[in-house]
Amino acid sequence: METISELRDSILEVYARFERIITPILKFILMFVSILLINGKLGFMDKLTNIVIVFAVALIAAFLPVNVSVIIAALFILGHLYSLSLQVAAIVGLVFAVMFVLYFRFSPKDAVVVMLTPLMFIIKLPYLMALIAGFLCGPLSFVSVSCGTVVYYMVDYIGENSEKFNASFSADNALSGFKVIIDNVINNDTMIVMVVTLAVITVLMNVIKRISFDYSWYIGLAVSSILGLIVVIIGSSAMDADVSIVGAIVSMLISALLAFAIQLFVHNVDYSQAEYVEFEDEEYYYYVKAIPRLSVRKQAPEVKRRPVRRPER
Amino acid sequence: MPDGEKTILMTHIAAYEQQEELGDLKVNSYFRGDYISMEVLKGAIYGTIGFAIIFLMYVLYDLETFMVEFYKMDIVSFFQGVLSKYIIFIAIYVVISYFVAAYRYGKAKKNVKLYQNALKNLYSYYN
Repeated sequence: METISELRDSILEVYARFERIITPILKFILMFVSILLINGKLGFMDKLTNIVIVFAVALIAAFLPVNVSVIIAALFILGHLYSLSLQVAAIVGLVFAVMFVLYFRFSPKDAVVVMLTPLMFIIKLPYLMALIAGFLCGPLSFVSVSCGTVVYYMVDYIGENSEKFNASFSADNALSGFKVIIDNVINNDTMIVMVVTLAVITVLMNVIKRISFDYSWYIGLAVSSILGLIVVIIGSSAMDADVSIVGAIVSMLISALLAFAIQLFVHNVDYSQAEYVEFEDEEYYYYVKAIPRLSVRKQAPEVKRRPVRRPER
Repeated sequence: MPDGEKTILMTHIAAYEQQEELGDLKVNSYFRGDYISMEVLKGAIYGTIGFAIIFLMYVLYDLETFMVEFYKMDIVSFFQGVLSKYIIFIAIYVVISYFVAAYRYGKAKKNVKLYQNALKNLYSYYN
């Protein structure tokens, strides 16, 4: 266990020192992978599938706030859907607008959860996102996870059934496209089961982690995983949803193990970034780089005086 | 020679100001009642926009049937129904906005108090 703690502290120390380089790289990878997956699922507009454009957009997003990456991903989805059919793009655009207007003004920091949840669905680990959101984000994070689930199922359905929505709709049956998409969003039993399951996992994890007792994080992880599995099994049977029970069990086990590993890096650790500040007083100008000490046991701050070499005149 | 402890204190203060420029300090510049009223008003506006979008999606869902029925239905009772749903929706959304604003104000006030204590400690170096 000490070796794991030492390894974790080393990794976190490296991150704190080189955070200005590592964070843009991580944001680049996130944006690049997200756009590639969106292009793989949809891919109706050829210009947006051009790897040079994907690379350039990901590079730009690496230096912008994470919420801008979410907006860029949403625009890519709408771009592909516009190429498929204006009605489809309009409906999906309205769904995005409702999410933005009603929810993200409360929790703008959770917007990245909406982007990551569909990615987790694609790699068959949706429960991992719910667990991570539960122990890293606030009490309303279950709404972000639910929004991400709705986005995934909506885009997945449109991608799988694109021939129904092609732009050669005649004026007579154009409006029926709205009904088909909204029906799929509202009456999709699989989506409803997954929304409820992930919301239960997120809420349980968040509530239990906030209670002050030993190992609350780990107990929360176990309880929310087990209850989440029960909810998905009961839900899929009751609502005749297309959810594989064996797949759900395997996915939940892998998600719980990965969440446990992530918790070791997050729990009880001050995850501050290096700070670059400038200020002055009556004697000096100060250009300060403050790198946080990262350790499980928080120690009382100790000021160490380092000898200052004065330049020779 | 720079004073180590004073430098650390100034670094913490400067780092907080850099991070929270548009956050806690801005929230704390309002009186509690003013801030919450402003957020509730914003909530009402955003909630109205959100309801309008949802209503638009409801109309587009089965536009053909809606257009046919529109000329047969009692328009007054239809709009009364829409209005009552809007009032319930806005009431719930505004209450949520109120509690979120009150929580944020309380948290910002606590953080700014720590910041002001740090400023007082720094001031004591000069006096």
